[in-house]
Amino acid sequence: MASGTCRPRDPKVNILSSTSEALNFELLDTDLSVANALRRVMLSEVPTLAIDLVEIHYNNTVLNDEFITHRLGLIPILSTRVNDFKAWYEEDESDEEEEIDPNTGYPIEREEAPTEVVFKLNAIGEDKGSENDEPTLVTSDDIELDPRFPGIAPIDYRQYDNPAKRPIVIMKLKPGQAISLKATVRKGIGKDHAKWNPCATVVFRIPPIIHINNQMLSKLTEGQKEELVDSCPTKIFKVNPDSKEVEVVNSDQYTYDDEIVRKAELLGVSGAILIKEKPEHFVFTVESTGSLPPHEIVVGAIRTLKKKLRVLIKDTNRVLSEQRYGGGDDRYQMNY
Amino acid sequence: MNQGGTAARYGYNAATGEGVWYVCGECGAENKVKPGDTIQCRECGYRILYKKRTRRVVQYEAR
Repeated sequence: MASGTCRPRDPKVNILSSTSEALNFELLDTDLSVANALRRVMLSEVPTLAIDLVEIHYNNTVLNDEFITHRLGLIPILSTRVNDFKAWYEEDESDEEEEIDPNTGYPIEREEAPTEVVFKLNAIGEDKGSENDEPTLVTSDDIELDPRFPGIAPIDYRQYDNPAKRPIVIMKLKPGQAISLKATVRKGIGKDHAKWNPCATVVFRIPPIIHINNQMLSKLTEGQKEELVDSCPTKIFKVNPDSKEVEVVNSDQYTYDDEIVRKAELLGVSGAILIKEKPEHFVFTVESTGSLPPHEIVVGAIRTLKKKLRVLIKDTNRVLSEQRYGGGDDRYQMNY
Repeated sequence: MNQGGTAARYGYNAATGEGVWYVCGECGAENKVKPGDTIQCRECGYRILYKKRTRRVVQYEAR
């Protein structure tokens, strides 16, 4: 594709593997900029829920208030219902067109989206007897949920029957120590604070296209071929023991270091191995913190990107129409 | 931090000159300290005193 041109196209997604924690997929027929935009939006602009404000009523534990508050903020909260909530940065939806009830003729009153969920945490260090000086663990399971929103909870909340799901330890208490607090959960995005980032890792890589000219390589001795193969820091090449030809074993491990290409030059067979990036092909790995399933992170990122594009279209159209009719705000007037 | 009457109970009140309770860093005894007093525990003579935690609710941003 010639750079600088713009042509309509139809990006494709192939899912390679999917679990509750990680998603692997291919993104095809689109630009590097689009792939990177998707990656960046997944990290910083997919909304989730997190504890944002903590009211401490009592604390005589060894951890100070600020420290506990910070730990609480970092606990992932199950955010599959995040779109029912409104964040501080979101506009009031009242400027949208009102829906009219066809029966009464009056506008349907829309319920205001909630902005906050309130958790409570009360714990006392138990005296387990003189024999046992184990501290009492305070975990995410000790958090009391908001009765108005029973579905909003820390991840893996009270899954006692599943030994693989362990609650998150917030602190440890000795007998006589106690903590009592109220924590307010709010909607936010990773750009504002990393605690709202739903992703553990988001990476994409471009698979290599590797051309091996074995006719040229036949000039080399077997020892030289081994040397060539070993020059690559990631072991993705090997010498076939039967045909003595150089083969690719595991191309998706390649790090684009070009070591083997330079080694080929040194051995006098420059051009025998050629490696380039596969165009318009991106292999994504998305790992979740648990607050959102990975596929919802991807869908949420696409939704955010679309919202951004809608704003761009709306604003460019307004500027253009104001230019055309000469009216409107002078700020958008262009001088030719 | 003007909380009216509550300030008198928890902090220093200039009107009554009541003083503030501190905890000794050595023996843990509680000491009432008034303006002009020497900073010294009445029980053991230790010179490091710690201020007690407020009994008010405190609020923090989890950031």
